Amino acid sequence: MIGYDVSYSRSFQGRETESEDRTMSMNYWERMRRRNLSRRALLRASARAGVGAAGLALVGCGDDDDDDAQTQTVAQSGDQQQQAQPSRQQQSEDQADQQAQTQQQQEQPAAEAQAEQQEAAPADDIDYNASAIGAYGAFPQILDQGSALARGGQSASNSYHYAAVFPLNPKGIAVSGGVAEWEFIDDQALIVTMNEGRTFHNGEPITGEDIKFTIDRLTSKAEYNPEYNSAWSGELSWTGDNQLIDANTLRIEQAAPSVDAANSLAVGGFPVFPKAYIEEVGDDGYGQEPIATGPFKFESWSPDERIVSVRNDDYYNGRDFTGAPRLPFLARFEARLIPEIGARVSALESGEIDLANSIPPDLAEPLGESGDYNVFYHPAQRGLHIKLPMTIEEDPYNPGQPNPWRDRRVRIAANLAVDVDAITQNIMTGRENYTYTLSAGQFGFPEDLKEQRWGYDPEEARRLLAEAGYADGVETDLIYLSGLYTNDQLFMEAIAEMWREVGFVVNLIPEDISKFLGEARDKVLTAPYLFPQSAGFTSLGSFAISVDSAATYEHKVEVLSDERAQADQLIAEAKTEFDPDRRAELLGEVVRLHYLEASWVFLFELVQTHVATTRLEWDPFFLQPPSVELWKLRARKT
Amino acid sequence: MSESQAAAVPLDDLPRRRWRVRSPRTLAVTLSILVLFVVLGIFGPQIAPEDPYQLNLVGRLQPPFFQTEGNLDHPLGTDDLGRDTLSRLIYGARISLVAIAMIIPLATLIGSLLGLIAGWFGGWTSRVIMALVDLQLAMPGILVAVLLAAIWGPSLRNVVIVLVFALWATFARIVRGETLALREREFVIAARTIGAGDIRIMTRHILPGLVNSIVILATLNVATVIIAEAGLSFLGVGVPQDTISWGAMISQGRNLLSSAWWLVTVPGIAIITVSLVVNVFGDWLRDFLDPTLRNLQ
Repeated sequence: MIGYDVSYSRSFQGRETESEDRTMSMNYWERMRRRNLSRRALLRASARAGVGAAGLALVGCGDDDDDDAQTQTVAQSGDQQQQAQPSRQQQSEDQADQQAQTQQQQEQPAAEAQAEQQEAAPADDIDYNASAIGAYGAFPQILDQGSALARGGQSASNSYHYAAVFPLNPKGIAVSGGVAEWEFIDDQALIVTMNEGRTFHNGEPITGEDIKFTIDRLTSKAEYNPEYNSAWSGELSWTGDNQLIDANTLRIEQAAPSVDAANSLAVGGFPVFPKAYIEEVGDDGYGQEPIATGPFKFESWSPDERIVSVRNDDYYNGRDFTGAPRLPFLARFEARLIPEIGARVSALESGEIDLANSIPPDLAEPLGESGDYNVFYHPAQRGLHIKLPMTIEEDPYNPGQPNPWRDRRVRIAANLAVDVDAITQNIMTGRENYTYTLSAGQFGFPEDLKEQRWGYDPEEARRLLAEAGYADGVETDLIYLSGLYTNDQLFMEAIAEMWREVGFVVNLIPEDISKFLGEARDKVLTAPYLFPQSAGFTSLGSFAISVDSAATYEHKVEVLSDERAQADQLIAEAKTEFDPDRRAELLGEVVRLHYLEASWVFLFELVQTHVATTRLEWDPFFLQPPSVELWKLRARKT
Repeated sequence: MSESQAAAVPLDDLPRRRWRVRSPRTLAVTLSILVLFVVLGIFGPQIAPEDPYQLNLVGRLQPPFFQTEGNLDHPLGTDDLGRDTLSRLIYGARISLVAIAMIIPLATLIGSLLGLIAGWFGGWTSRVIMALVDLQLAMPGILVAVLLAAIWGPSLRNVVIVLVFALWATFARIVRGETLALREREFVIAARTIGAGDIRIMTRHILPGLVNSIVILATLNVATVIIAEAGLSFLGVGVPQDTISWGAMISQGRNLLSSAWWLVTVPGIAIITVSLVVNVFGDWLRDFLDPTLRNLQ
């Protein structure tokens, strides 16, 4: 089961409310505007505003630390296929069956989504020549989607300039109709056959050689630059040698049988590179002026300022296609970098931009209630959790003493101390689901685990800490990526305070994303840290990134508990298990083990909030979209 | 007061000085607020009506009592985690007070000592010290703050280092100038004639003549410290995020200015008020300690 439906995207424009309620729910300035003001009241209000402004002017004029956009965690690397290969003998037949199931699975939701789309905006009411300006909190450093430097602001540009080899259905499963089709011809290879009429943005046809080049480049095997700093090597770890059978057919060997093989070429943002162009301009040139295959074409950019894109009218999948992405509605889109949340809202209110991404609910809801804006609630399927340093033997704060986090009672206490529901209901949108793992919607999630949820029980947390020998408290840093997700500073302050309440001595540390990611990848972190891992649509890739002890983002690893070792073994087994039922069982066991061992502090699945003018509409295609899907953003005629 | 002394005071300044110096009510109000600030800073935990860290997520963003939705349980409202704004304001005074207590004496000591040495010895000693002063004055303190925050993370230590670094040069420059004037005076020449050494002359004869200026300058810099600490904390390079300070309170509330004005306005008023009264007190002190101006009264 996947926990959200598309109805989360909603417009407040037509909302019927009693005028009294509405007055109560309006913000202060709105109420002031609508009240018959006496001169004294006006003076009082002016004085308040003046004093506030003077206070601000006295102490400075805002910093840039509210970098609010998301990092593209290794883009849904765990997206997997439901089609499986139960045994070597029956593999081909079973793959065909799986594909049929996949097709069935994708058809109905896609049809529903399409019907909803038509209902939301009749075709004759859509302005197909419209342009829109959207503001983001972070930008990528370069526009080469294959590079690790393109991470850090994925909502802007890279995810809509690029389209993967295979399209996806609403559940994130690869379907036919993309650049190419695929077939497993035996248990060790994937055959990719090019579809006709697919072109790059410069009009050049996409060939089998380009696909081969793409895979070689992303696995750092391309002859022109074997040192290429790829961000996708993890997703393509299953690939072995690949060779062109003819101009339009490529055979990709599987270094190890993988249930993820086809889907890893379909995940959102996966690029297809033009071989001739990159060999001509090099990596640097390509990063500045990319030619890709996606629904929007790159037009121009000023680093750290704006990225301008225009619709790719030659995009091969029209608006009637059942998969994603499709031909966009907007003719032009300009992404602007506005790191400060307040400045993004001001830009929206002044009409400078049409869409403000990642706006805290406290600011977004009044805007929606004003009737002048649409608020998009976007369930991002990112299970927010605090990773605990259980793979270190010594307490980093008390050398020579055992690491308290290796004691299960301490970890359970850390979970029991946090009132997740109070946070989601009062600080966040109220639409967030508690997370038991990466996401309760992921493949293989054992539903019965919900009955064993760690609740909120500070008394029991104190008792457990005392029982574990930490009645005087556990000293710890608590790290989070500042400004990465909606209201992160606020809910992390709340969590730190809740920990303090039961006896943890917490030093809350906001960190810059580049510093944090470097330290996490180098495995030098020894303190608990907030981590927002995307669950993907199944589990394997995400587990490899975040759950097993060799994960990309894991603490320093000195020693494993029996349970962690067991989880590692189960994940390894699942990677080569082609029977979907058995695989679900294995992954479910990992989730159960991981949860009941309190390996993390489990928080909630993030819901991002974006605000747009009422001219713009968006109903998500994916049940849990990675960001606002620009190809599906529509502008009404004015 | 002789006619020549009166003539030394610019006529344009007279009405302003009269307002400051001659109004006992102004002085009383100023001193009251200053005493209140110091008392709040020292006895904050005993005075604060609530634990300033106590979360109340259900009661977040309550406005001050005089607004319809407000109540007297939280006279100045609550912040976005439901914490009592009044209690946080009281605790925030501590950081300002601690900053003042650490920064002003250090900056005064370093700056005055170097200024005294530069003024008395002159020559290359003076040139080196004054070159350092010029170098410091050319260096933006905010960059130093960001650099230190990047190395050590936000902390009160950074604030102290940055502000001591920023303020010592002012003391050095003023003290050097005064020393240059004093060392030519007859009593200094007399002391030198009877064989007094450099250290003795500097400490026994020059320094007492500098005390007034140093005290006045230190007082006037108190307001600078309050504003600068708040500014650094606002920018996230001052005290740690979970330490309560007025600047951090403004920083945390700035995005909600349209819907929760009190989050920014209340600490903003506190900063303005304390800075203002400290400056008024500094002016009064200057007038009081300067015999010329005191006689003018």
